[in-house]
Amino acid sequence: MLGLLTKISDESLMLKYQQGDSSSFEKLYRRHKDSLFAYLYRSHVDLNVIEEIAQESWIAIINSAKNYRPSAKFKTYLYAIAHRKLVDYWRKNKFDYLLDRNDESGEPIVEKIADTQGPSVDAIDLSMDLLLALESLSKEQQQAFLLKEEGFSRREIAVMTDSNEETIKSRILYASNHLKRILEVQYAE
Amino acid sequence: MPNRKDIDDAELSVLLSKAEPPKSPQHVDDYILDYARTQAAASDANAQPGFLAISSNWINQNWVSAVATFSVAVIAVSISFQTFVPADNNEIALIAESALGVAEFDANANNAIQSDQAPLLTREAAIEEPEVDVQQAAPALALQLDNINLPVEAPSVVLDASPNVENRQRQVAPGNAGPSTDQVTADAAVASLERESQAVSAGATSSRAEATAGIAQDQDDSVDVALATPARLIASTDTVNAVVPRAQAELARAQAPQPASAASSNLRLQERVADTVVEAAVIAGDLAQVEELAAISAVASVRPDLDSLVAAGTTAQQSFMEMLKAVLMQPGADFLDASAEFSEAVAALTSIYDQLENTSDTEAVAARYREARLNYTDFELPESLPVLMEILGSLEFPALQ
Repeated sequence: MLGLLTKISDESLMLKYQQGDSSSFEKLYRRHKDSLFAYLYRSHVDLNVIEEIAQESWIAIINSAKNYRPSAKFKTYLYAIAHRKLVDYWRKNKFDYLLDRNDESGEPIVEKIADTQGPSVDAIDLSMDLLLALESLSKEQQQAFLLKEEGFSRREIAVMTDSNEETIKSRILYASNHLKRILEVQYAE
Repeated sequence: MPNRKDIDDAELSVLLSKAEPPKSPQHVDDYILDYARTQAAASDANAQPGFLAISSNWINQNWVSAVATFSVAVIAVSISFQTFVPADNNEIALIAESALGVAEFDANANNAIQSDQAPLLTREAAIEEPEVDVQQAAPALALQLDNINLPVEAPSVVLDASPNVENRQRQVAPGNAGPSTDQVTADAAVASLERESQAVSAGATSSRAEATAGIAQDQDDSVDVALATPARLIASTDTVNAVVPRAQAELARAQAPQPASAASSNLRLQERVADTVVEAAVIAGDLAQVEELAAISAVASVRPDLDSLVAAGTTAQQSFMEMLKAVLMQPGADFLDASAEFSEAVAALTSIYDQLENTSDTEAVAARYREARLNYTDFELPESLPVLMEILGSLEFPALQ
């Protein structure tokens, strides 16, 4: 209880680190390192890429600490940086960022997964199927959904992804419906 | 086990949280934290001590506000400098003139308005001494010249000290020469006269140069006309309050009975005082005083010609007297005989004018004067008879006043 009452905000810790208090940054890092890693992991399954993007994101925070201004939540600041680095990675590696991903025959992966009958419900990890289903979404839909699951509002997501709120709302709705459809088909009788 | 209908957004969130993503690797954590400590240490080493560090940080975050505040301060200081710069006296005079709308003022006073107030008195005071010296020296010189019968001209000094831009030039002529009781040798007298004349001329010339330079500067300054502000008008009033008492003192001193030899000097003093007082009244905004003093200024404007009348020959004097008699006297009335002195004749005519009690007579006389003035070309005369009579009375015969 005492710990909750005396918990220092992320922004205050960042300002202390700005003044040269490295222990404040350590606290800040421990608060967010795993959640950020999880967000990156759900966005991209390659661990090497995730580690690289996570490391670059935190170093960017450290390097820009001198100019940090608490105009928004620190978590929003952190995830916005990570999101941009993800997008940069996708663009460098020519991922189809804007369109639904299709298989080699041109059929959307989402539809393909939805139509696939799972061999056994018990043999399938539900969560892993969800992650696979996330891979079948477009990157924009995927990011909108994952950021919403991280607790950001539509407005915050719109700021981080340079979109408007209506677009984010549409992407989240589309992603949710398709993920449900995949999972329902997978585990339906 | 969920079926198709059971899955909703909350279920998706639960499934996503159960995916148990991998934790951040230890080597990544170590690398990031080490880098953070290194950067913090480097930041401490480079940090400026004390308030400088705070100032730098503060400036980084508030430079926009700092620049805005500085700009406003600069503008405020600039405006305050413009507001509190003391007004030039020439500007004050022009402002007062435009404010009062005195457009039809006498040319003499009108020109005087454009000149400086306090510097005017200062300059004229400086010039006054040489002028008086000349006036006092001239009769003595004339006396000696009469005695030795040598054609030596009296020192003639042109003074431009008047504020009148028309450059009224006044020649200081010898005054009334009385009989001399001293007998000196011709050589000694000539030598003495030459030395004295040179000394007087040098002093007067120096004063004239100073005064002319001052007037030229005033004329240049008067080109700039500033906007009227209450502060400047107040300043002009203060200036007038300082000038008027001095001018009045000079006027009183000039009006006091003085020997005939100093009469010409006093005339100039009165003229100068009149101009100064008129200026002061205009600037102060006292219209009643302006009108009253305008008459004095009009007297001053024609005085040089009347001075010349005094020094003129008997023919011109007789012509002037005939004109004046025709104005003031009924045809056939008795008057002094032709052998009477000019000064006596003027005194008699002045007395006749003073004895006019009937308004209709006064108006008739004034009408005759206006008509006669138009036909009189020997000298420039004032527009109204009262002014002329004032001139004749106060200037030539102060004792009669």
